[in-house]
Amino acid sequence: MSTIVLDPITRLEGHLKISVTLDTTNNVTAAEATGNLYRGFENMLVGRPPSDAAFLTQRICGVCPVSHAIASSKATEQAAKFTPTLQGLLLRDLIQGANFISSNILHFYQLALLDYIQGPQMHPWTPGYSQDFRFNAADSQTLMNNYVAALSIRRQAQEMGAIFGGKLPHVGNIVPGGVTANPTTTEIANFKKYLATITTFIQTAYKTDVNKLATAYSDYYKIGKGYGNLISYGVFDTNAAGAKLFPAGTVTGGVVGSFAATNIKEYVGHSWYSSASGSNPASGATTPKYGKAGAYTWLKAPRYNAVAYEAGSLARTWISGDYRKGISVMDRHLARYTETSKIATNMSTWISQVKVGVSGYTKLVAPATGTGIGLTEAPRGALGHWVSVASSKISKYQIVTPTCWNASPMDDAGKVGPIEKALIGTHVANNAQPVELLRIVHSFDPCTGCSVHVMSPEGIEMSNFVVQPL
Amino acid sequence: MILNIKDTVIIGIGNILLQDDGVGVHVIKQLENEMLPSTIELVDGGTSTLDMLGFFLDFKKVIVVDCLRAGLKPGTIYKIKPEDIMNYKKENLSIHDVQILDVVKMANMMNKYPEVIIFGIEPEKIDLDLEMTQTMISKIPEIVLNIKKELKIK
Repeated sequence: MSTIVLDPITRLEGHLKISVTLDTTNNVTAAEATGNLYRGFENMLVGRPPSDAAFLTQRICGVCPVSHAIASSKATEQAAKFTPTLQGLLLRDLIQGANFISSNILHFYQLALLDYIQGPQMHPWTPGYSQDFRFNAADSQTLMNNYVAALSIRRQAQEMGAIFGGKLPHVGNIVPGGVTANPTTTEIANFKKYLATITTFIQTAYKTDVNKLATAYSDYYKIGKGYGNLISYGVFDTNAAGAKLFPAGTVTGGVVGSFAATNIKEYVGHSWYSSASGSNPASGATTPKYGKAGAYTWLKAPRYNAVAYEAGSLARTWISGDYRKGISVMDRHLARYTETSKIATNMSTWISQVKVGVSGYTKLVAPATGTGIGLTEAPRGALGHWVSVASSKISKYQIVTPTCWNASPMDDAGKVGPIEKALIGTHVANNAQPVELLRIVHSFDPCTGCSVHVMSPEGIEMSNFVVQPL
Repeated sequence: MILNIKDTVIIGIGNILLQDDGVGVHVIKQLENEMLPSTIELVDGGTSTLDMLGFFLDFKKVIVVDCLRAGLKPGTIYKIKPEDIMNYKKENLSIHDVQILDVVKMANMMNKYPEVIIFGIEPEKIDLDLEMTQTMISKIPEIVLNIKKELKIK
């Protein structure tokens, strides 16, 4: 089969391309993030029963299906003026918690770590960069061993999530009304067993490794800051009144403030849409116009009070007060560890609160008309679903994903998106191996791992880097 | 954890919201109606390729069905073994997007070496639609037959 040429661009969810311009001293002067998540998924939901959305929206992205199911269920529940029982909320917390742990561990070990250590010298790890590896052979070996151990832990986290989530990866049990699971003593015992093993890994190996990284690459506390504004919609309900483990909020110029969904507006001045710019998602529309002058992406530019905000673990832990050391590439990794550890600890509380033999589901009468907003967090940041229902069918649906916040393009006022801003000003040591850019982009945990391809422009001073997913 | 008499798993990969991209999942749906032997596990992997690792650790044989764009006629079925291409070093061979091969490597790192066969199907159209193209729909029986042949069923 030596003649096969593979060009498989079939995983469209989360394709992200980054182009940057460098000046004569090799500093980034401009950056463009191009996302291929065309928002037409939402238009497909129109005319369907609201309960379909929890299943279909999970399919948009394979990385955070659980959070999509929860956001969608919450939106329909709000339209029906319904809140699940505490049992339902706790089961959602446990399934979503398992997904966060699995995703955060995958991110650190399988996606981000190889920007800092050399993987095995074989496909798919080669060809790769050889630039700026600082660990000695012994430390590299320990990290690679934990890379393999993390695969096993991550798998156990998946299996743990499936206990109450039903089938994986696309869960079947999270629906408007709660969670269609009825925990048995055995299931609870199995869950606790998985959790104990996973928690030990997080609080020993993961903790040691992330700190090892932070020590060896302490200069990355000063790289990739961006605007420094953070946003979270809040996640993990701890009671039926809306209290959350990580509360909703904003951080603006270092000040922690409140959050209100009405302050979100999406701009499309530089996006391939002809629909009105500056609408709140509740009234927003998605009309594609590929090739529109001045546009370079399928992502819209969500802004909060017209300002660009970064979403993710760092936003959640800063607002909750768990991590406030700084905003940078390395702070994002440490915040992600801090949050993973906190989630694992709290899951142990939640699983002990779950009642044996009590269903997490309450029959929900689907709303004939109404509107609802479902806000939660995916591991990589704030996720919102906005639904309008008329004649018992979806009449409008809008989704703003975390990567829409982080990889958003320039808005109508000419302000670039958070990842773009974080890249600007970065010094690239070696044009052929722009590892600095990769580390910045990865620290945001965008939907998929990215690789950088260097395109040689005509001029001598300018280079063009294009980051595409693995 | 579970006592398992199953030794073969068939995994369908793809996005059912993106027309022909979802072919893997549609094939699994069809296989569910085929009364396959009880030694075979069917998995709708959706778009979560990296989450499939567990199946590569637990089963002796793994069959993956996925959309594969190589440029030939739409509906073309490719059958690939990872070892055919994994160590094939050539500049224009871009296997970095083939996440399933990453998963095979991860399993190997954990000392598991299942027999892996990938059935890739050339798409006609990848666009926003729950319905596949007629070209792809009409190929489903042939894909199913190929899988059965591989498993020596009937």
